[in-house]
Amino acid sequence: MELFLGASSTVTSKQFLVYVATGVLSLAMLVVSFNMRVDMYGLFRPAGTRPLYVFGEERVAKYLHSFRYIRENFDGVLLGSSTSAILETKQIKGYRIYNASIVGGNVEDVKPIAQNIFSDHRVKVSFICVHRYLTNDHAQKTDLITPKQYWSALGSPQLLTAYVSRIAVDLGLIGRRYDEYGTQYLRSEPDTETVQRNISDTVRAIQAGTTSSGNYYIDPIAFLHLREVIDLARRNSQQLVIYFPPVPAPVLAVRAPEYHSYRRSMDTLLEPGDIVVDFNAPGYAGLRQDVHNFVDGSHLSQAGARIVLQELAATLAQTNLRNPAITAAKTTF
Amino acid sequence: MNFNSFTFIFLFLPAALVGFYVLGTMQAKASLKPWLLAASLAFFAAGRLQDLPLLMASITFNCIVATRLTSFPDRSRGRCAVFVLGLSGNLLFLAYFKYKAFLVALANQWMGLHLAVSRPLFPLGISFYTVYQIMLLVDCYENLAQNYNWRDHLVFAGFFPYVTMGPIVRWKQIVPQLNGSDFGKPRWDNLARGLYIFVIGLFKKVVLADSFFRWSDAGFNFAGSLSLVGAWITALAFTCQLYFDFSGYTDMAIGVALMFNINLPANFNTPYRSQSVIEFWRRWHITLSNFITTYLYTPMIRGMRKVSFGRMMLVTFIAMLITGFWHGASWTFVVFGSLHGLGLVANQVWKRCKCQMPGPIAWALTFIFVVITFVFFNSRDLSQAGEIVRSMFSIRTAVFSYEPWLGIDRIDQAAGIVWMLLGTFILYRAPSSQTLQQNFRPSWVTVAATIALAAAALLYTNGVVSRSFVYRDF
Repeated sequence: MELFLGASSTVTSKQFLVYVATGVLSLAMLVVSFNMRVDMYGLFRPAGTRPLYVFGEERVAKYLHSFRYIRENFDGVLLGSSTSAILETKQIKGYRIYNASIVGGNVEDVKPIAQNIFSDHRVKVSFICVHRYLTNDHAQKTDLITPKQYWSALGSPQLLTAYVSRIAVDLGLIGRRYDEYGTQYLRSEPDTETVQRNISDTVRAIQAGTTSSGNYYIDPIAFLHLREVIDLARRNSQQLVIYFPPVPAPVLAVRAPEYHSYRRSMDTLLEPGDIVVDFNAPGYAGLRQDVHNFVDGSHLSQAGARIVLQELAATLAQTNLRNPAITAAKTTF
Repeated sequence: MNFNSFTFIFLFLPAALVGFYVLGTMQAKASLKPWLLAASLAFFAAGRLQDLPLLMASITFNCIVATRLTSFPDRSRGRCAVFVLGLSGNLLFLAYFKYKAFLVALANQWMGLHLAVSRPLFPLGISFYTVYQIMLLVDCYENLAQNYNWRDHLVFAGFFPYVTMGPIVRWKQIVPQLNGSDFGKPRWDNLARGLYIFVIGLFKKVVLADSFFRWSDAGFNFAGSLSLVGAWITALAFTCQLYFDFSGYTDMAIGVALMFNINLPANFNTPYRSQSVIEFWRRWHITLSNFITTYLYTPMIRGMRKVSFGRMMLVTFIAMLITGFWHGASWTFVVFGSLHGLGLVANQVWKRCKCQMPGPIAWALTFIFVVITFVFFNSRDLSQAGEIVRSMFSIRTAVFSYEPWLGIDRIDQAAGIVWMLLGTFILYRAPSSQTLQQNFRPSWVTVAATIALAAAALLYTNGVVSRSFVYRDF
């Protein structure tokens, strides 16, 4: 109670003000110095040999990594939503590709990251995973990706969360959720029966109109922003690889016309020289039909992610870095 | 500019204070009020520049009306006409800028019209500065605004600690202080006390209210699919968020004003400990309750030829309906006001019956009632409110679903729960801000407490989840 009522009077009002001001200022300087020294996101000095992992909020970490860490330590970047989050880009030979995919992220989350990476900076290769979710709407899902976040790396609740997360990982209390390339670990996968049920549920929900899974609506503003992201990547990458992630065959079957129309709209964003891989083209029917490649109606399993990554890496390997005008087949549906 | 921004805390407030006390010590007393007015206009312009002309138009109009009012003899026709004109002007001003879109939509719906409906943001502070200037006109008419002059009116109406979100003040509470002998003299005890209360308010807002916000916001976004427990968590989170948000703002306003040697009236007194709806309104948004009682309820009762219990209850209900509508141009606020009107009527009937109820049951009933009404307060429309309230009393769906809060990081959730437990302790056990202010004495303990609260609050202010105030858009 004394804490609230301030019983032990030993200072004057003037002293109170001086002590509080000095105390707060000293504490602030201490916190800022400590956070600059630790530099969780590689903002204030080169990361050098220390790998920086995603701790705490993924959006915060990846956005802050995009200011400096990705630019200084990677040859390229993979942009997308949760459908590309588990692609283990570390496995791509000859390139260091950072997986900047945001789980639950739309183009409004992707755009600021792309702007940071590509501002006055050129990378060797950029991958963009174009999934319908990116352009379903143009509202930012959270207010975490904002320029103010840069300064919050000097001390903020988000940083505190990241510290706690890092300590918990270091103490072995929780497992690491991301590798140093930003790829999210898929901890456990449902069994085949569950996946089949998940996919059937999705199909039923699409037919009943009770899920957004089959929503190929393209928000006009989100579409413009995706164009900006693709243009930015194209201008600042030696090579640009755009891919459309596979949709489980039964789900695609009930949404074929919508997907077709969606693809036509997305094709308007492409230019000759872009490398385009559409995993929903007939050539990839086997991938889509194998239930082991998915965990639900939209997301890949580790096996599926491996196949997709191998295909992307192979496509990239076939291209000539010195001649970006690779004629990547604009796959027809 | 918000109180919970670094610009305000480290630039605006220190600059305003230094200028004020430099002028005060230079014996330039005549410059003190212009300085405060300039600071207030700068504060308002930094908040929303495009709304500054409206504030100035409102102040100018009310200055003219009040000056004319005081120039007429008592009970003269001219005085009455000017008063009616002033009152109507303010109500039309409020109706046009705050309720236009709502009224047009209503006309379209009921009269089959096709008028264009635009929903711009409400002009900043319009509900507050219009209400306390209406109070001033009434006071002038009733000869209660002593020594009225337009120079004091400018400072009174524009004073930045309360111009955007209250507390709702009366002329007699503020202006005598502006003309007191202490005005402009550095008072270290006021500065220390003001800083202490300001820091408490900042902590309440950025740490507690914003932590509750993440839970309530996620819940309201999932209104259609909330489980029973989920709906209660959502409603309770918003109930706590609103209290810490608004009472935190009020503490900051009181603290800032105190630094300028101005005492503002209290607005909250541990309202969630109330054991009846009547008591709740004595403890919640006290200055608004005083306005309703003095300027709505009493004149309506006085206007009646014969006063009966039934009529008093009708007036109570109407007054609360107006109060609800004052909060915002939406049916949800109409329902909010109506529910509280009905709650007050039921409470009066209960009192009249001289029925007794054990304290804990009375408290629980009152609190649950308040929680439900706040669901309407925060919902974007009646259907959203209906979905949440239905889920709160339905066991048809799952008892608990974690889905709404999946988007919040687990560690953030843990931190949020810690702050919420602290918030609950403050709500039910800690002394009110009024008590803290009254009992404040500078000591090592209060120094340490202030530094700790300020450090936590500044850390949260630097976080991107720090939000604007709920009442800022009213």
